Amino acid sequence: MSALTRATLYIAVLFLPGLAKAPVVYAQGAEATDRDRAVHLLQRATYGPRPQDIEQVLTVGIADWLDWQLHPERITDAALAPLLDRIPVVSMSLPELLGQYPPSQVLRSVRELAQGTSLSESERRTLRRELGEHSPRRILDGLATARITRAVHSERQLQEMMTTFWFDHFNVFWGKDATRSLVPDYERSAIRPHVFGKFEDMVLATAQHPAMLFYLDNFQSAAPDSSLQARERREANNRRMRRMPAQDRARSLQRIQQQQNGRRAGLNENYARELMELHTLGVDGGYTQADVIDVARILTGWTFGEQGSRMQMRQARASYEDGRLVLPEIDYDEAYQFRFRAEVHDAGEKTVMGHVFEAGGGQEEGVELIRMLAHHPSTARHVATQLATRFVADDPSTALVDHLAEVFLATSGDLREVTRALFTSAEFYDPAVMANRVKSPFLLVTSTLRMTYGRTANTRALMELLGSLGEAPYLAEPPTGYPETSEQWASGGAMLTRMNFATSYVTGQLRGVGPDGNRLFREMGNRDGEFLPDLVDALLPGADASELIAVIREDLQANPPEGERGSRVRTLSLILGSPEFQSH
Amino acid sequence: MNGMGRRVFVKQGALALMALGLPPDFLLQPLLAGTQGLDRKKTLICIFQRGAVDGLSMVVPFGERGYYDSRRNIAIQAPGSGEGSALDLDGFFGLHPALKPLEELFRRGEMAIVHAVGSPHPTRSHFDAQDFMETGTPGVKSTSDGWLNRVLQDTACAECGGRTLQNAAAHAADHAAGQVAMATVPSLRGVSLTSALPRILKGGHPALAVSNLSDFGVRNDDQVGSAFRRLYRTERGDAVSAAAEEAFEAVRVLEAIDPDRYQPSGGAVYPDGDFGRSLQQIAQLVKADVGMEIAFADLGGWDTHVRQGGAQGQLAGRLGQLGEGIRALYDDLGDRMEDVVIMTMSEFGRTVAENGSGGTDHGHANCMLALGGSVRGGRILGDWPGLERELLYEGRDLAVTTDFRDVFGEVVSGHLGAEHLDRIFPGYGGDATRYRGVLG
Repeated sequence: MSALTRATLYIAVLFLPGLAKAPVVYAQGAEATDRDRAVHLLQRATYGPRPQDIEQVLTVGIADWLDWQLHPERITDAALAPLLDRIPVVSMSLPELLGQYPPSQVLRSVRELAQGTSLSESERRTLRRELGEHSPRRILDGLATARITRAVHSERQLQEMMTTFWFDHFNVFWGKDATRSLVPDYERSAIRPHVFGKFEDMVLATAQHPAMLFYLDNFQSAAPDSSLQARERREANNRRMRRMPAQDRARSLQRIQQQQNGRRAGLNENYARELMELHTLGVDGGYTQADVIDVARILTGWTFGEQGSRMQMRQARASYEDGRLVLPEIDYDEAYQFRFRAEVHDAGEKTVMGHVFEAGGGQEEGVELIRMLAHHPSTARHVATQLATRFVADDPSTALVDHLAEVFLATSGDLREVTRALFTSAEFYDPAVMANRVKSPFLLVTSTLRMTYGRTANTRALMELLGSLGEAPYLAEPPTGYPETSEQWASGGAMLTRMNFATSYVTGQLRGVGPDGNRLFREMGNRDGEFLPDLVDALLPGADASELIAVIREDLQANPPEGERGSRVRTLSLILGSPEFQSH
Repeated sequence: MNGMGRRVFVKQGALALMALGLPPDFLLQPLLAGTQGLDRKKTLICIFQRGAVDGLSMVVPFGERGYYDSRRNIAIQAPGSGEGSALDLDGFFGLHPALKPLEELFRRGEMAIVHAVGSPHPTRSHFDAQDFMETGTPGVKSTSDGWLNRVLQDTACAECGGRTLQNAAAHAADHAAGQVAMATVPSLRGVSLTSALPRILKGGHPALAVSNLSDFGVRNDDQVGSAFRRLYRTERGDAVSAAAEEAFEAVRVLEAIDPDRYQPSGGAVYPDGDFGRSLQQIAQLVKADVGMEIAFADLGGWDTHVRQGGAQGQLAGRLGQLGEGIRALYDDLGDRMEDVVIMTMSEFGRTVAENGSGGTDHGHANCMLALGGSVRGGRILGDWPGLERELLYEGRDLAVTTDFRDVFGEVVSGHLGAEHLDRIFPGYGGDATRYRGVLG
C-alpha cells in the first residue's frame, strides 16, 4: 500500500461521520509521521511495539489493523494455545475448579485431619503434601501465568488489553475467601466474551456471577422484612436453648450461628453503590443515597446456590481412606449457580432516578434496572472518561470524552465501536500525548518480555515483583481495581525496583523468565559494527534516545564490562531500566 | 544524642558529610538557633496482626465465668492456677502467659490495653475487615487510600511536601531562612517493612515499602548504578526521573545505616524470623533519624480455627513472637520510646465459644495494645460489655464498645499532631470526646 493510500484511508477513518469531530491539534513544531502513529497505537493498544508489529501496522494501515484486532475471533493464535494448555485453571470449569480447590471450610477439615491424632505421622505427611495440591494459591499462579502469557505471546493483543481494562472496571479481589475458585470463570465468562460486545451484557454478566455477588456481598442482601423473620427465628432459638444443658447449648448455638453466618439477613448496599458509582453512572452520575437503597432493594434475592447446597458445603468433611485423601462430594455446579430467591426479595415498589419500578417486578426488574443504568448518558461519560484516561492521558480532553460518550450512546454501548473510536480519534494521535504515560507495572513487565522474546515458564518471580510494584494481577483489593491514571506508578521505591527488575531479568536472576538474547541480537550490529543504535531502535522505537546512547557509550568506556556478552548484558539492562522504557 | 539527631539534617551537604562520618553540626547550628526545645520528631509504629487474633486469650477476662463456660479446652486459666495461668493485670483481666515480656511494661505504666475495640461494621470476612481497618472507612469499600497515608498528607508541609507540621514553627523558620534544602526524603516519612505497600499506607503521599533494608538500593550498583543515576536526571522534568531522584536520595540516607552490622542496645534480643527483623530495622530507622514518622509491620498466623491451644500451642507461639518482638523493640529504643508509640491492631476478634476443632471462629470485638512514653499505661481502657449471652454481639461475639477510630484518632492527633480527623477518617464524625485516654 502506498503512503498516499494509507494517508487517504487514515483520513477517511478519521472523518467518518460521528467518529472524529475535533481536528488534530499538533504540538508546536511537531508533526507525527505515519510511523510515529503506528508506534503510538502499538504502545497503547498492545503490550509492546516490536519491529515486526510496526511493519505490520504500516503495511495494512491503522484502520485495517485495528479492525483485525477488534475481531479476535478472526485471528488465529496458534502459538498461544500450547502455552495455555500448560495452565490447567484456564480451561477448568467452575465445578472442576471447586472440586480441585475446595472452599476453605472443606480444606479446614483436611487440615484438622492432618493435625489430628487419628492418623499416623507418615499418613499425616502424605496428607499435608496432598493438601498443597489443593491449595487455592495454585489458582492464582495459574491465573497470573495465563494473563502474563497472553499479554506477551497472544496475537489478540487488543482483546487482552481490553480484558484487563474491563476486569479492573468490574474488579473482584482474588483473596476474598470463596472468590479464589470463582475468578477464572469470572474473567472467562463475564468479562472476556463482552469486551467487544454490548456494555449492558457485561454489566449483567458481572451482576449475576457468583464472584461479584460474593465479593460485593449482594449474595446475602435480603429484604428488611425477611431480616425481621430472621430475628424472630433467632429469638425463638435463644428461648429454646436456654432450656438446654450448657454443653448442648454451646454446640447448638455454634451450629445455628454457623448457619446464620452465610445468610445474615438485611439489606446490603455494597454492590448497589458500586454498581452505580464504579460500574455505570460514575460518582457524579446524578444518583442519591435514596437511589442506592432502592437499587439494593431491587437486587435483593440476587444470589447463588440453594440453601441446601450451602449447608451441605458447610458440613462437608474430608476423610482419609485406603491411604489417600477423599474430598467430600459436593454439587458445586449447584452451589455457585446464579439464583433469584424470591423469598428474600423486596417485592415493594421502588424508584431509581425518577424511574418507578412497580411492586412485584421480581427478577425482571433487576434486569430492567441494569439495562437502564447501562444506557444512561452518565454511564456513557463515565466509561468514556475511564477509557480516555487509561489509553490517552491522565487528564483527557473534554472533546475526546464527549466524542467517546457520543459513540457509546449512538451505538447503544457497542464496545467494539467505542474502542474503535478511541484508537482512531484525533486526540489519540495528538503528538502531545505520545509517550506521556508512565507504564503500569504490568505493562512494564509484559512489554519487557514481549520486546525481548522472553520466556514465561514460571511467573512466580514476576508475580512477586508486580506485588511489590503495587499491581499484582487479581490482587487489587478495592472495587475500583487498579487506577486508570498513570502518574501514581512513578514512586521512589518503585523506580529502584524497576531498575533492579531490568538488571535481574537480563542477568537471569529471575527464576523462570529471561530474554531470548540470540533472537534479539540476531538483527543487530549493522551500523559501524555496533549493536547499540539498532538495539535502542528496536526497544525504543520513535524515542529520542541520543542521550541514552551517549550515556551508555560513556559508561561502557569508563567501566568496561567483560567481553561481548558483558556489554550486551549491560546495554540491555540499561535500556530496559531507562526512563525512556518506563513511558509509553 | 546531638542536635543533628533530633533535627533532620539538611539534604545534600549533610548527607555527604554523614557518609564521610563527619558531624554536620556546624552546618545546623544556624538553623537550630531558636528552635531548640520545640517538640521533637515523633514516630508511630503500627503492628497489624493479620488473620484476627483471639483477643479473649490475648488479654483474658478471667473474672468472667462465661469465658470458662464457653471454652472448656482452650481457656487460659485464672492467675494462681499453676503453670500457664494468666498474668494478673487488675484482678479481672490477665495477659496470656506468652506475653510475659510485656507484663513489666504494663506494671511500669508504659503499656495500655484497649479491650472490646473494633469496627462498627458487622463483617466477619478477613478481607473486608482488614480493608476497613486500613482505609479507616468501615462499610465504604471504594476508599482509595489508607488512613496512615492520609495522616502523612495531613501533616505534610504544604510548601515542600516534606516533614511534619509537628515542627511547624521550626520548619517555617527554615523556609524563611531559605534553608529548606529540606529535611526528610518524603517517602521516608512512612515506611512499611513489607514487600508491598499495605493498603493502610497507600495513597497520595509517597511512602516506602521495603521488606529488608539490606536489599534496598540499586542491584549490581557497581555495574549499572552510576549510569542509571545519570539517566534519571531531575532536569528531564518527567515523573519517573523525579521519583528516581528521590529514590537515590533515600538510598543515600539508608546506606549510612548499614543494617547488617547493627547491634541492638538495651540488651534487646529480637525473635528470629521476618517479624523480628522488621522490628529491628524499624528501631534502626528511628535511631538514624531518617525522618520516619510512621512505621508499619505485620505478623500473620492468627486465624486459629483449628487447635488454637491454650497456654501452649499455636496461638501461644504467635503471641510469644509478638511479645518478644515488641519487648525487644521497646528495650532497643530505650530513651527513644519517649517519642515513639507502638500500637497493635487486628481486623476482628474471635467467637467467645470454642468450636468443635479446638479453635475459635470469626468474631467481632478485639483488644489493642499501645506502648510508649506518652502512653498513660498500666490501665485497661474502654467499656467492658461482658460475656453474658444476651450481651454478646449477635448472640456469639464480644460486642464492640470502642470504635477503632476512637483509638487511632487519639493517637494520631495527640502523638503525631494530625489536625483534621474529619479528613483522616471521613464519615467518622468523632472527636476528642470519644478518646479513651490512651495518651497521658
